[in-house]
Amino acid sequence: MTTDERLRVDVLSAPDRVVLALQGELDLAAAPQLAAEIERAETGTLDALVLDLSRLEFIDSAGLRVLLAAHERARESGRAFAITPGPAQVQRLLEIAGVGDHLVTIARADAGLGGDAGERGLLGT
Amino acid sequence: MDRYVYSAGWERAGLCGVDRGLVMAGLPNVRLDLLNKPENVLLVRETLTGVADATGLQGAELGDIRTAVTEACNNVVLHAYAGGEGPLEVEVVLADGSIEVLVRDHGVGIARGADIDAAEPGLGVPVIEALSDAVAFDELTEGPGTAVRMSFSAPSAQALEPAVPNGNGHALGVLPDFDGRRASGTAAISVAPRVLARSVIPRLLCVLAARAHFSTDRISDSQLVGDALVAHARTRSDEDYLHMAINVEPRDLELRVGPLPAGGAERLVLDSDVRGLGRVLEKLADHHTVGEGDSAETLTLQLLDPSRRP
Repeated sequence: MTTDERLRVDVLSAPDRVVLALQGELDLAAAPQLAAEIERAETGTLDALVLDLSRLEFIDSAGLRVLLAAHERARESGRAFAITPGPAQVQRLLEIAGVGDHLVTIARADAGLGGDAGERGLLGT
Repeated sequence: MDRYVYSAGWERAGLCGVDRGLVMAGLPNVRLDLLNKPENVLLVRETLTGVADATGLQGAELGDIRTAVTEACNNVVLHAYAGGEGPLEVEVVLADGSIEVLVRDHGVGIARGADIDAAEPGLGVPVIEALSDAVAFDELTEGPGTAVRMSFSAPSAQALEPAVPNGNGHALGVLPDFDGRRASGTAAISVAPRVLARSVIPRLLCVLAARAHFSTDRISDSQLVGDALVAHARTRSDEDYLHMAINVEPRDLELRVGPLPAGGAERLVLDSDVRGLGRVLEKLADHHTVGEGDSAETLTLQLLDPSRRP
């Protein structure tokens, strides 16, 4: 776990996935902190990375970029990547940025990565 | 470049074309003077949340305004000064049924700055456009810089008129400063009317006290000091703006309030008496000093958190 002025990232390791649970505000100032946490998770043996956005109070386009970059790296290396739905402001930005259809969304951080991911499959393609 | 210089919505509203002089609907209720540092964008969002508290702005409306204004500020942080430091200025006007926010820089601004990212177009401008009811990007006429002017429909918000005697907003030009020492932590704010200051100032001080690594108790003290300043500061004539400059160092928060009328600084300290607590400003600030100028005074308060000293 790391803490910052406004963003808290809890790292939870499960047998089939690493979950990064985000709490607070993911903005331009906090984006490097999350990028570093994701990079750290990616250096280990990683089958799937889940970003739990359920307690994320705010995201901006800089935060969104970090999510999209992680999604892209997962796609290139054949890993699974998913997010959980966030509060209204988070979902609104995902929607207007047009990335909602790109990213695989699962109902909860511990939900099945296959079934709950819907017809598109976990890689969203 | 043309791609980024446009005025969406204002044309429909009849506000574009003839007048490109960045005239807002009225005098700003809030003016923030910050440095274009990433962490300062949070201060802008906290200010907007304070505005919502005072005006009854609803959650979804506030969410959109916070998002769009954040993107405009991010552009100043990332692009306006080619990686260097410079001013980030924000003004908020509460009009009837709408909120207008102006984000201004004195660098290359969003217009030319956005070209730097031409190979990888940013999301910021489309997000601003999607979430605001009208947006205009204008190059400043009096020097280099750009102003992004956004208008948001807010039926649930009530208008709050700043009281200024002759209505010329001259008071906004008299911001207190730290003698040119605009250190990285410095912020300056002018806010009116007091009902708005009451929800904005303590909130900002809370964030800045946390940034100064204050303990929870000392953060509460900083909020109480903010409450006392808002309640008791009497500015010159009938002008209703509260002007404050804040400097943040590790475990050290310095607040400067002014301009105050002659004798106003000491009176502010005396007036902060709360039954059972005594004079809040004297009790909670480690030092207070009165600065006297030609026609006005300033009160400087220093709050320290020695318990957190290394």
